[in-house]
Amino acid sequence: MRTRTAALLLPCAVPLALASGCFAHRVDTAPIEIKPIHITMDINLKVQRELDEFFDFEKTAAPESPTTEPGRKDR
Amino acid sequence: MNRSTFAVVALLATLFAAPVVAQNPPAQGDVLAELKARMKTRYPLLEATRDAGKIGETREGVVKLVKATSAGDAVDPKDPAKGTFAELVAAENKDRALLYEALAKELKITAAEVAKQNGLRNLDKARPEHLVEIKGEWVQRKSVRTVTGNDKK
Repeated sequence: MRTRTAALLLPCAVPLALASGCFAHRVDTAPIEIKPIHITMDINLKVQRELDEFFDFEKTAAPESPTTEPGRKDR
Repeated sequence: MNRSTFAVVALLATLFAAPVVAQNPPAQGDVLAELKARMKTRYPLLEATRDAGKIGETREGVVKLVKATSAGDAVDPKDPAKGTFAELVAAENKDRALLYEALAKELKITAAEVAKQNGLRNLDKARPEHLVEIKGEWVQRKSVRTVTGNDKK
């Protein structure tokens, strides 16, 4: 009886065992990305000019670190 | 002087005094000069507090405490006369509100618009390590990109 069961199971088990090597199990992990925060600045030049004029003491009171950033435009 | 006489005198005094006060409101220039003097005096302390990460700027043009728990802490433990962080923030915002009102009147726009522009201006010129509030979160200025290209790294 046992020999007969084994004889029946064996043809099924062998292809399964062989096929298992063909499957690849992969877990994808999304890379952690720190995205910069973007904001849109709607500059009203007239108001900015008035504010710059009022807060002119800020430039003299706090020496800002020298900037080498390109694209900086003085308003 | 009986009561009715006193009431008449008081009424007359009010009627005559009111136009005098109305005719001599403080000039806009004087208001701005006083504001500027106060804010200039406060500025070094405000900047030191910003450097310490206790307060930060917002897009609404007001300064805020980064942590509400530090509200009652002394700005300078060695000099209690300088008050608490909450007092410093309140005084600065009060003066800013007056400034926004004055500039709004001058430029014929709303105070909210002036406040918004000052918020953007403060955000633009903030130092890289300074904290700014964006969408309810405190972030360092260097992590904020702006369309002006004035990004702080």
